[in-house]
Amino acid sequence: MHASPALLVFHPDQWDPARAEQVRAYSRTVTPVLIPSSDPRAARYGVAGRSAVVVTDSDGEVVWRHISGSGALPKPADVDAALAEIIEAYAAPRTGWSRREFVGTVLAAAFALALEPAMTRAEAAAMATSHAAPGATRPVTLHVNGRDIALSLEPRVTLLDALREYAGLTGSKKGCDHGQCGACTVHVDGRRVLSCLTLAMAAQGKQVTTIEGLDDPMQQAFISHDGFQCGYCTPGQIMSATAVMHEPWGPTDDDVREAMSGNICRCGAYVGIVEAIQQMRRGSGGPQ
Amino acid sequence: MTELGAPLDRVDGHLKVTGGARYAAEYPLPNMTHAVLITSTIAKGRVRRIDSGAVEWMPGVLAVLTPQNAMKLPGFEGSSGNNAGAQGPAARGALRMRVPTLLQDDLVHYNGQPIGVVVADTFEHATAAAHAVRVEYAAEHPVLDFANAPRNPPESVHPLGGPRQTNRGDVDRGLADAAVRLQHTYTTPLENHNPMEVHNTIASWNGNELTLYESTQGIFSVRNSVARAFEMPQDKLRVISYFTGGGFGSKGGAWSHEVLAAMAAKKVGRPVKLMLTRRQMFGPVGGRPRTQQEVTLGAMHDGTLTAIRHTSTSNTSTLEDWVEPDTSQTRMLYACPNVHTVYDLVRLNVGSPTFQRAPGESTGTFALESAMDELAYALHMDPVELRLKNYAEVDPESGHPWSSKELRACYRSAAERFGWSRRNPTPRSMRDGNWLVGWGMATATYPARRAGAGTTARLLADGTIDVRAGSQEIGCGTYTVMTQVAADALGVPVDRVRFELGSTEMPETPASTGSVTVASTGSAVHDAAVALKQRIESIVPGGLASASASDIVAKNGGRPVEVTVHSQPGPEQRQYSMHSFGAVFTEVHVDPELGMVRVPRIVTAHAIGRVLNGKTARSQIQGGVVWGIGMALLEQTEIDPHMGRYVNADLAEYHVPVNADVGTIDVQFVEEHDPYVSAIGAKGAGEIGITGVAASIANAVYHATGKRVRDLPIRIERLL
Amino acid sequence: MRAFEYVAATDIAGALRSARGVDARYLAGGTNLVDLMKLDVERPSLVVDVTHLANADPSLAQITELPGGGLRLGGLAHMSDVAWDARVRERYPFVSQSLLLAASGQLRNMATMGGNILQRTRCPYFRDTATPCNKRDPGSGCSALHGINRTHAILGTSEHCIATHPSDFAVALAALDATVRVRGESGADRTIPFTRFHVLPDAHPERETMLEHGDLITAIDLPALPFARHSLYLKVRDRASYAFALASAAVALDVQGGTIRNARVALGGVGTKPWRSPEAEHALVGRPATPATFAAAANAALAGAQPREQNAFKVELAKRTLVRALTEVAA
Repeated sequence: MHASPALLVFHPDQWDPARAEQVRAYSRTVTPVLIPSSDPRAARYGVAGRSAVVVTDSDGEVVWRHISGSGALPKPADVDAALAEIIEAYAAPRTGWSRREFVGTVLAAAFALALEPAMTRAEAAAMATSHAAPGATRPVTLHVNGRDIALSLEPRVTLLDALREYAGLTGSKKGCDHGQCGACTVHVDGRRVLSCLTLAMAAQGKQVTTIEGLDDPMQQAFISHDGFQCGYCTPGQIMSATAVMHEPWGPTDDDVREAMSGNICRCGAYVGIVEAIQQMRRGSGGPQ
Repeated sequence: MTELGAPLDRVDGHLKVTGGARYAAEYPLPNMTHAVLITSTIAKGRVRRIDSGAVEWMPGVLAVLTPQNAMKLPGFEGSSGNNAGAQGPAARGALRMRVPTLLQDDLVHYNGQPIGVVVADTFEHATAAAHAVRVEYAAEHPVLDFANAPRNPPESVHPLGGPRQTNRGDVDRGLADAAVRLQHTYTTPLENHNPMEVHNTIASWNGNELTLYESTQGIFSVRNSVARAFEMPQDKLRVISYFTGGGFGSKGGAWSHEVLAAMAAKKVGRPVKLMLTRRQMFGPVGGRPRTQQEVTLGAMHDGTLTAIRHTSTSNTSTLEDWVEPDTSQTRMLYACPNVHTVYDLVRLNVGSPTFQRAPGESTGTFALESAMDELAYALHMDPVELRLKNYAEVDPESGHPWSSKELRACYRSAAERFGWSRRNPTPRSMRDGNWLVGWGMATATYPARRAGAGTTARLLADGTIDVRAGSQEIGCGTYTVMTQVAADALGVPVDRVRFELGSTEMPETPASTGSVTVASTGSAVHDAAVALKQRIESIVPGGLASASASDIVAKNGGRPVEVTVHSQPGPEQRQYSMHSFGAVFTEVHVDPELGMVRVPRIVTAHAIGRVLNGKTARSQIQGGVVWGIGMALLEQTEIDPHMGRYVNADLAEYHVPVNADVGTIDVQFVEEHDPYVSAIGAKGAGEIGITGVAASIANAVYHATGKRVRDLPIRIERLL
Repeated sequence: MRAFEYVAATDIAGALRSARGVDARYLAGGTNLVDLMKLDVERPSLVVDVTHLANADPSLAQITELPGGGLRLGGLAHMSDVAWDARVRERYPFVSQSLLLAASGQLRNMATMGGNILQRTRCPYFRDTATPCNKRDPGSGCSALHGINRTHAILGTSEHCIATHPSDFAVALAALDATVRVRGESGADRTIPFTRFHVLPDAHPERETMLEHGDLITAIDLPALPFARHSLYLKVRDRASYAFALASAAVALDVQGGTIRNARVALGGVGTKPWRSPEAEHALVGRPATPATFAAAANAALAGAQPREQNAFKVELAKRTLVRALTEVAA
């Protein structure tokens, strides 16, 4: 670590088979180092328990750091954008920072090699910093899972696509894109709604909660009762189920079935889903 | 201590309930672009011209691929079969499955066929441009009428189809000898799989290397097809699929969108994400064909079957011949000396059919088990007794002994749990308030197949056992049961084992189709774990029981201890007949005036060899049963009779079961020891759950109403 | 979706002003509009978001008492809020039922009173720009007439259009003689009786309501109708939930001493508009509340039915649904 600059990726301890693949996209020359964020080094870099990407110079000093609020790893485009900023910053002559100039050079080489060879650095930097739709886009601030996310979106972008394609929150799923399956269910101002039929612009000023922002015993109940198989409808099922806890449904299994019929599960995990919800309802003293 | 069979929580459960499981479209590659398919709006003819010039100026559009401008694929043969890429009759003659449409010609075979691709910087821009494209066609009159189209024997059949015609004994004489004869036609409609995750791919080139992030049941099948299309070495193509949001047979291999995405990525020089719309899930990615099955039964007064004839006609596309093998179970399920089966195809201008959850046995058991129920009534015999009367002690077609068969115990166990002995056999004799109550049963069966598979297992210094096999997780619980298999074989707790799948950089295993995964990959995982244990013990006598992992690794030159095995079925496959069996008992409630049918409870008992995880296996059966409810009462793909347009191509009008359609589903597994079917004695549970269910529901509806419905789905208007 | 301009109105006057003179649509819950925009069936150049109008005027999203015992449902009130409101459940149970039997929990949290009665048909040919449809594209033909028409209408049809009106809530409103309150471009309020709100397709199926360009639904008034406490909405569909009606009935009966003193009947799933049936009501009022009366009412309600090739079963199904609803509400 002390011999050369490093790209450190701090991640949740939880196993994730796709993690290595995501990190693979960060850089093709400077090999990212994966470190669980429970590791003591995470504390040293100020990212204990967080998902983060840290770039250090050859002394191990932090040159750049991106902490991910949502728990997901930063998108490669964000990492590229930040590296581009560093390169710009270090391209100007500075006194006493010869080591950092060296780092800047190394990183610039790494950065250039990570992009399409035909592209100039300026083009690459411009592309990397823009993950907004060009054209008739407007600044849109969404308040998601307790944080503000500033985006630049066309009016026709739905909340679902804003979450998945622009905000890096892929937990909400696209099953039909027409409000017919429930896989895109999120909470807006505490109510379960379909994000695929909500325009992102219309969700401004409201509190949006996605599966990534949920920490609810319902999630463990789904695991215990095997209320899922392929998992694709599961975030929507859980967002619906947690909302049902606060809707005036009757106490029977049939009441729960009806309440949850807006969430289609093609794997047919309905028995486990009802069991999980009923366990939660009984446990909390009955339906709210 | 064994971890096998324990109802362990899924090891990928935490990821799935937190939104952390990553599916194909969810890899945020830099400079990603978005592609949307352009699909035909006629059912037969040619694409004369796609006016791409008019949309290329639209905001964000980077390219429009059409049959006129698309690259010529060097190795196009378009499928996981062999032979060159001719279309039409020549293609039908080749042994092939799944002929994609890759813009290599201008032919249109069905309404909704991919005929182009728009690539843009955002999903919104690509979608708007795809809508705006104007296409000129030379339209021809499509063939859409199943009833009146000519019947033909298929020119070739996929390996699961079985022979086109089989003849055992002398059916005509058997019928002549019979005391009771009946002959009825049963039909099942077109269906579509509709997994919750649509088919989608991200294609990313790095020089001449291609990575596909795919939603698939078969990473190697996709790799091989795509590599062949581009005539590129397989090791230059990586297919990644750590989680697939359902497949049910529609994702067993490549369709069109994988190659189209790769072509688009080549064209624009950037990664391309191509996601099908839900409408595009009807036609371009397979479905279950319509079947029309005629079953003739002859029996003595005591119920002994003297003859069975089962003929079937199903539809295929004009792209390829594909058969729904719905006569398969008829050859092996009952001890009847005289059995004749045959099938024919009609070729229609619709999307190609493909394997859909229990292809053949799901549709075939509907016909056969309905006919058996009708026979039971004709004989005034209990339907279970009729099955037992004709119980096959050996495979009646091949004469081979079963590798294992606990079907009697299944009938007994399910009947008892259901309360079958309280049944009043007279139709319309049971009520619950205003509802008519009906009870019906059927036999379930599905072949237990096994293919070769590879696995690598390693002991790491920190004590982790890392096991990897290039398999898939489509919801069956593969991550979890393989962890258990490895832990059990090594004698370590499950939390010491990490099982990885989903990359073609791992050892090759079969696609997660045909319920083969636990028998195939499970055997390989087992064998690899056993081999690792032996290798460890050869390094340190006593192995993990006597030394720490770090010591063992140190003794191994500081390297993890690693083994790779390839596991293969053996001669036992030729010596034994291998199938799973089960029994399904169903209660329906029918509204006597309004015709609504509800299924408040279903009781099943299956014998599937060794149950690897009681929790996930139960879910597999329940999932199959839910599919059976959909098949019996709800699902039908509707195509406009003139235009050939898919008319209910969305989830509002194609009715898969919702939560309120499902009552209680009681699942039992009968203990069954099978030393032949796989190294771990497991047979697979993914598909047997649907078999027999539609018949049990139709039989229950008959018992409730006195009306015999032989055409699925059983809709309200049939019961008014 | 095509690109469009989006503006969030802060008050009614502003909303009306924004919509004036342009191809605009009001966006409330979006459950129908956004769906149809994705299909390229609706193509407004301007979307006026009216969901914030309740900030300036809270009554737009509320349920308020009317003198005499009726209820005013704000145009922006959500289906779920109205369905679960104690006053609605008590005074107009079939209104609550018609809402709860529709859509899904998520959709009911989004969709509004105004949006619900404006929702457009589910006819697959209307919703698919690749197939001819007189409603979507006047003069192009009706694909359903000789195509797949199992779920299409048997009442109020013409040779130009046989599309079913899909709203359950609207059926109860028709039975109730509700009133739609509208504010128009001029800024003046007016009311439209519900049974005249939707128009028959006749030769112009593209015209569905009495609304004029820029009209904003501000409320739906439920009149005081004491015997509406004895009401029921019965819905028959292909699956147990989350599906549109094959046939449905909204009925209210005032039965005294075994005789029907007053009746309201409307049918759903079978008409090109929510189908109030004065014919059925006439066959009920003054008659004994018996199966024979109910059967006669059902025959009268469906006497003018014009079935097509695949939906003939709806004639019998609608009759039985009505009989069942009357039987249950009289019990």
